[in-house]
Amino acid sequence: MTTDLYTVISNKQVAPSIFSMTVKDHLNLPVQPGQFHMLKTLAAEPLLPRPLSINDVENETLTFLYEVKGDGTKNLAALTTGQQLRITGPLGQGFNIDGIVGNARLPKVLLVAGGIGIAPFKYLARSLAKKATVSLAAGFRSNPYAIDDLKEFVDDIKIATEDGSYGVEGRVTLVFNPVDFDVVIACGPTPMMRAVKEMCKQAKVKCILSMEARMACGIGACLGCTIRTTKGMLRVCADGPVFDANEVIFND
Amino acid sequence: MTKESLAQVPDLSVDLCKITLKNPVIAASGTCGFGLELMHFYHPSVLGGFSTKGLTLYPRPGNHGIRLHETRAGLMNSIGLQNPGTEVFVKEILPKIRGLTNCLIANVGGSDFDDYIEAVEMVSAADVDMIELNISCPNVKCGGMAFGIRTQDAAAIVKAVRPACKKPLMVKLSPNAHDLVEVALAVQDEGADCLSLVNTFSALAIDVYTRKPVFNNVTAGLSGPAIKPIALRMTRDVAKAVQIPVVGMGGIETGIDAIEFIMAGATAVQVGTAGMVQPDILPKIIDEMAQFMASQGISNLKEIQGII
Ligand SMILES: Cc1cc2nc3c(=O)[nH]c(=O)nc-3n(C[C@H](O)[C@H](O)[C@H](O)COP(=O)(O)OP(=O)(O)OC[C@H]3O[C@@H](n4cnc5c(N)ncnc54)[C@H](O)[C@@H]3O)c2cc1C
Ligand SMILES: Cc1cc2nc3c(=O)[nH]c(=O)nc-3n(C[C@H](O)[C@H](O)[C@H](O)COP(=O)(O)O)c2cc1C
Ligand code: FES
Repeated sequence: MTTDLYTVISNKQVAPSIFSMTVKDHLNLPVQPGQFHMLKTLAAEPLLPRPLSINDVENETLTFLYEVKGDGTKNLAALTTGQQLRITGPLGQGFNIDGIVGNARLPKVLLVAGGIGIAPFKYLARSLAKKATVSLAAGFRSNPYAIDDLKEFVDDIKIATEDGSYGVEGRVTLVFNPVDFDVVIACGPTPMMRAVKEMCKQAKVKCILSMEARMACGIGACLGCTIRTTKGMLRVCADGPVFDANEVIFND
Repeated sequence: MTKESLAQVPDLSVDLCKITLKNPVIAASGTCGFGLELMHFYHPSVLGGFSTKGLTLYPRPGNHGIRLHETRAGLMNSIGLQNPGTEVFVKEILPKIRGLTNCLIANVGGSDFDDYIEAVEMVSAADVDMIELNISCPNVKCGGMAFGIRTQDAAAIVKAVRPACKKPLMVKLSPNAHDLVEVALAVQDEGADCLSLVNTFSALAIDVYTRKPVFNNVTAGLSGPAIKPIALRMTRDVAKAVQIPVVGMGGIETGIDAIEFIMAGATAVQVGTAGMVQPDILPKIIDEMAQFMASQGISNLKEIQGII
């Protein structure tokens, strides 16, 4: 991991409020799928950098897929080609590809995305391609996005939208059954993660979650991003963001 | 060497309780873990020193719920002194970090007299260079800051801990004290070797949609650039009043900010929040201080310390 100024190659809107930003990866550090970076524009405010998952790594570029929520992501969305921003990373424990694949020949892996939770799945699916049979179940409030990006790497795609504008109407948990898979990997809002964990537990299927928490340092130094786990309070930024679902204790 | 060439290589070293720091920039407690995370960005030996996460006699899991909340130019935190306890620190962590700096400051907190005394006794007997007594953590119930608010409480805890402390004793003051200068003088009288200030300001944030405070503990501690002008004023107030060295902090982001604290009377400074915003900022602050000194023909920080 390192901290440095990176140059924007492109930063474009791909759906309402959703942007894809590619930067030149001049340092070319090894990046695991599921790891993240802390990003901050050169503006003084907001003070803290914002965590974004790595969406893809290719040809000496890094790509981030992000939803504009508040001032931090608004600043990111305003960056144009050639501008610089500070990026610290790669950070955290990503997906363990060997662990997911295990000894099985072409295990069946399901990726469950809730909204912008789809961000880390492109690089993950790329890394799993040929080693596993990868399916995607993605839920959105309304119009889906970033699906076309994944088509190349996944064998099956199921979509749910809460307003029924596309695919099945309702939550993403309606469109899959964990018993059909060897491993289920989920990233999305907390209620979705909790539901997926519960479904997998009932079905006795291995479940892996990519968790979120508010962060400050992003490097494991401030203990601001901890979540409750069976191993005590663990730091999402340094011990995660990827956790075995059995370890994660959701607060009721 | 001529006078000009001397000024080209300014001397940033400072003496703090008989320890020579190669420069006055110390990483602040709770913002740099136990120093190991810094290694990804620079070797901690380039710093004047670092202060560990607050240690307590028994392990603490820390607070539940939201622990961080950003405000304009500031950060509110309610970590709640999550730490592995003094025994694990001494046996398992200290051996790994001892070599990282020649000024390893162990920050120690507690909730009652016995806790504080036992924790200070254990940690100060180990191979640390200084104890920073935290009587100013606003995030633990019935403790920490409770001792730093009223002068008689601050005096009593320092008096109790002093005989147990085998290393130089730095007492970290709370900006929430009823009378900060009075606390500083009382703590000095009870045997503190130096003072550090300020810890975070007790502050409040409300989520108007849930109609609840953002933090489970209602209040949390504010740090970062927002507090700098107040922290600077407090550093000057205290430095003017006491005879022992003062380590200033609160919102330092640049070498110029650090120079301000020195001019306000600080012997050294600590940097917290800025190091979390940009993990390699502390070495940059040191470089900026050196550049400022060179450009102003200052060869030793003593020339400007406390001039305001
Ligand atoms: C490991 C990790 C990876 C992430 N990857 C992505 C990604 O690839 N794409 C993406 O769009 N988003 C991602 N996020 C979430 C993203 O960091 C937040 O949406 C962002 O920090 C919001 O900042 P803001 O300034 O725009 O909004 P703010 O005004 O700071 O906040 C807007 C809302 O988001 C909440 N929020 C603030 N910070 C976080 C946070 N760190 N996590 C969750 N909620 C937060 C606030 O409570 C508030 O309700 C990730 C978060 C983590 C922890
Ligand atoms: C996340 C966080 C954790 C902290 N933990 C401690 C602690 O354990 N002990 C302590 O004495 N101060 C602690 N502090 C206070 C800092 O050491 C420092 O006094 C304060 O943040 C002001 O400096 P700054 O504005 O440079 O951050 C903490 C501050 C932050 C932001
Ligand atoms: S954000 Fe600081 S420890 Fe995770």
